[in-house]
Amino acid sequence: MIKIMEGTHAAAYGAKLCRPKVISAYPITPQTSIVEKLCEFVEKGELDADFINVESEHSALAVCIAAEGTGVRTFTATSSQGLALMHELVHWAGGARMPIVMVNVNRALAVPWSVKADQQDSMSQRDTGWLQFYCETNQEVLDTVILAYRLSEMVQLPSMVCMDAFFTSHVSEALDIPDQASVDAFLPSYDPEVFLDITDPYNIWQSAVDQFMQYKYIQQKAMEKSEQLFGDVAAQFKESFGRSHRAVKEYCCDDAEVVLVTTGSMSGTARYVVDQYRQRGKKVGAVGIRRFRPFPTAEIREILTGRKRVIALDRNISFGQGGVAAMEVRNALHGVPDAPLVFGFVAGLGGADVTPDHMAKALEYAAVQEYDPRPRWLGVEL
Amino acid sequence: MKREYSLKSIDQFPPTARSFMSSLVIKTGDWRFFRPLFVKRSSPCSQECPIGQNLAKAFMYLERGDWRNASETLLEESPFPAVMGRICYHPCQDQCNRRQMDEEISIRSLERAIGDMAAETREKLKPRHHRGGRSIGVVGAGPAGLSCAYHLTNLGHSVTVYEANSEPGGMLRYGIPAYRLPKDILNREMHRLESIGIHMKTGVRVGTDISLEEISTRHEALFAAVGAWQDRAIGVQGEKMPGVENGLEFLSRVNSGEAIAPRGRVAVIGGGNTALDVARCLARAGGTQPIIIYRRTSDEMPAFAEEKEHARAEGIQFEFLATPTRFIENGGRVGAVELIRMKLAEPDATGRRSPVPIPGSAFSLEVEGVVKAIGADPDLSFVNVNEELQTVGEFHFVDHRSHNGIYRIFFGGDTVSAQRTVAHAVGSGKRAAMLIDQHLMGSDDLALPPGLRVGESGTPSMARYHRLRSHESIDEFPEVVKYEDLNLAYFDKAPRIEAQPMDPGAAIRGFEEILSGLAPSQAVDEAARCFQCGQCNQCDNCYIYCPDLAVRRDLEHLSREILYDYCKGCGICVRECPRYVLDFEKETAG
Repeated sequence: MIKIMEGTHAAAYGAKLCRPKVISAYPITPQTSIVEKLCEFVEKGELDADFINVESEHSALAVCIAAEGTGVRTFTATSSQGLALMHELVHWAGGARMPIVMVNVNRALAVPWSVKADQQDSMSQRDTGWLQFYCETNQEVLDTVILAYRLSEMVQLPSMVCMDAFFTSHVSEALDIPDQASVDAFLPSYDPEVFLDITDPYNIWQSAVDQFMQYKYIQQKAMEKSEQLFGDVAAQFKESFGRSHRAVKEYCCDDAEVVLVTTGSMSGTARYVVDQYRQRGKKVGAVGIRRFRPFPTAEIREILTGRKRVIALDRNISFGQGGVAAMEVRNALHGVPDAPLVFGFVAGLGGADVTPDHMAKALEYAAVQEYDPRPRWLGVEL
Repeated sequence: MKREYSLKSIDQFPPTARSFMSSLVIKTGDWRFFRPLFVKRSSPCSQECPIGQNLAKAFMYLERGDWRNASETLLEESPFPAVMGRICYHPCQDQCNRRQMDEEISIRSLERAIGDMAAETREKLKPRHHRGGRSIGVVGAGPAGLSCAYHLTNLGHSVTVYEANSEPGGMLRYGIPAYRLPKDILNREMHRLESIGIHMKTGVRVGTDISLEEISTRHEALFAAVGAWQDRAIGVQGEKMPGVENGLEFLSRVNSGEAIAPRGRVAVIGGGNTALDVARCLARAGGTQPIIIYRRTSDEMPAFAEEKEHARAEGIQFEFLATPTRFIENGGRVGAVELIRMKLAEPDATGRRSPVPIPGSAFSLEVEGVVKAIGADPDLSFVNVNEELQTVGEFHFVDHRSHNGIYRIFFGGDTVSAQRTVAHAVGSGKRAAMLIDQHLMGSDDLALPPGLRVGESGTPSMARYHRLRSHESIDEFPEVVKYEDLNLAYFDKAPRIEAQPMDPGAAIRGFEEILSGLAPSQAVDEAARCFQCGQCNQCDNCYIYCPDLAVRRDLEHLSREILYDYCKGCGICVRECPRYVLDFEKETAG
């Protein structure tokens, strides 16, 4: 069924199709319409779930963790300050191995105050043990929610599905909504390995001083396993729904000398810039990173080996270092013979537009300037 | 999917930190200093109910749509909820805790709904098989006699009821007009009582048609509840002249189907329910204008407030602060009443203000008839006038001497009660049934065992008496739940659902029942409004809030228990119980 709707509703429809039993969330712009839509589904009886109202995002995730603890599928959504407020429990969900799926609408963190697109919120949660996906289109949002549940439940790790505020969350696009039966076939009912069973009670999530490292080790192993399983799940997804999803979206990279690396909604702009340069005979390509955790190191190494320069554009900043994607790409390329130079650019913070002009400036800058590991700021310095 | 985990190898680790042994080995109950307990407390309505019905429990079932258990709960105490649900003066409702939040529960209407549903589904109390059924005679098939017979039958005895009238029911049939209690409903309930095995011998007046000696030889115990049917005389001139009638005699004729001839203005003397019923029956005759003459004011009338309200709505006239001094003849029958104006004196020792005549205030009222309804007395001529009625506690009896020796006759109902309502009569019959049963089981105690009373001051509970008879324990607390005891966070205001009386203009055109009942769905909704004070309704708050999963539920039997091995005594369950079902007490040392 094709419907036209905004990104937040795409997330809500995706969640609904996965039949979570408990939904808990706290409203925050620009996420609110996700949970409003889900509330509507529950109220109308279209979704058999408990919608639990709470007083904060911290409680919302706590509710999801507790509900998952009883062995049911859960969903939450948040953004920006809300995600920051959840932070303690974001770690907890990872360590407790709860396959919660959370949609995060990427929005700037204060100060200064802004409700607009910025990936600072989720990028600063990348070390919490959650799978992270960045979406460019509404269809990707809906599909990734479904795919994330499947993968998360296979490896018992939570997933964060991110989309950019307003550019994605509030833009309407045509969306192919799968039918419930196909989703049910793709996503089996949730049957967790460890949960609170009142008929056979065990103590869970308790202190394990002597085995702490071992538990962290198996958490990392689960993350690695998810990397291996992602391809299978994506293949099943394609078989079920006809759409491909990859960890990275590469565009015109085969013979490219320079590659633009992006995440989220600016990836489309990058492909437009590639087309402009290609028309002028310039060998430019683009890579949009869709799966940020586990980081697609192998794919990045494969695609970018042999390129001369990489332009990594980040809608986030790790102060004192640089954009996170730039760091991660450099890290992935470490040890590759004749690895390309990775130029980092910070762009679009607080919802600022990242225009083809900005990307052209970055390309031109990297073409002529000496390599400098410090990021350049598009729209400020250039 | 259950997997075995082990710390021996990292491949056998659980995905997240989890104990390797069931947490049931950790007996957190050791930490407890205070102990929560499920207790059974009384609701204020049940304590106030002259029949001692467990209303909170019945409404708990009704809210769940469990009509069978709701009716069983009422039938445990009441022989005919469908009757009481129509005519009871519902003192329970005045005590309803919900009044302090919004409005009381429509208890009487719920009782009626349950009673009618029970009749429709032919619900009967589950038979109890107590040993040692004996034979008991009951004199009078009114509310008290029938109640006693009903309960003694349920206790496994064989009961014969002797009734002077041609049909059973007593005041229910011959006193209460059909617009309050339709005859088909009454007949249905009477048949139900006969169907459980009560032997009705109607048209037999004890003392006339059969002697007391005769029935004393047939039965091992006797209960007499002959009511109070002798209309009192006013003691003024002309009282016996044609056109001056007695209230109960009048009602008895009307309720037996005799048509009332239109007769212009009729003075009805008295301020009780009989006076109101007489006046309202007269109003239904057409061409008749009853006027109630009462020596005090409306506030002092002993009639039920609701009856007064309906009478006023039906256009009945009142002449307050007046009393007849003489009935004046005109053409061989009464033509006028001479009245004197009264005033209320200062309250006497009982707090009631006595009416005193105002000298020189006489006036007269032209009438075409008079009905006196100033009270009635019992007729105890069937027992030897020399034998004195004895009272011990709430029991009344006569030790009757005959050639067979001395035997004891228990009395109940209006014959001995100061509170002459059907509800009190039914309660009195029930208490007598317990005492007679106890007597037949070999006890000469003139008191019931402790713990039977509902609340601190209510009527003894037959449900509990049955448990005693089955050698089960009685574990109810006497404490009555107060409004402050409830956790009001769990109750929202909600409009009361109550049956509305029919239009008074239409009502006086016949004897059609004035109050319609609630539809079953309305009754369920109204039962859901009930706080169900002191009655666990499986709301699950204790279960949900217990941090130690130390509340075990049995949803089939609607019971729950605290697992003291694990209860840490935090008291959250006690605090979160909406209806004061949990108690919290200090653990004793050791």
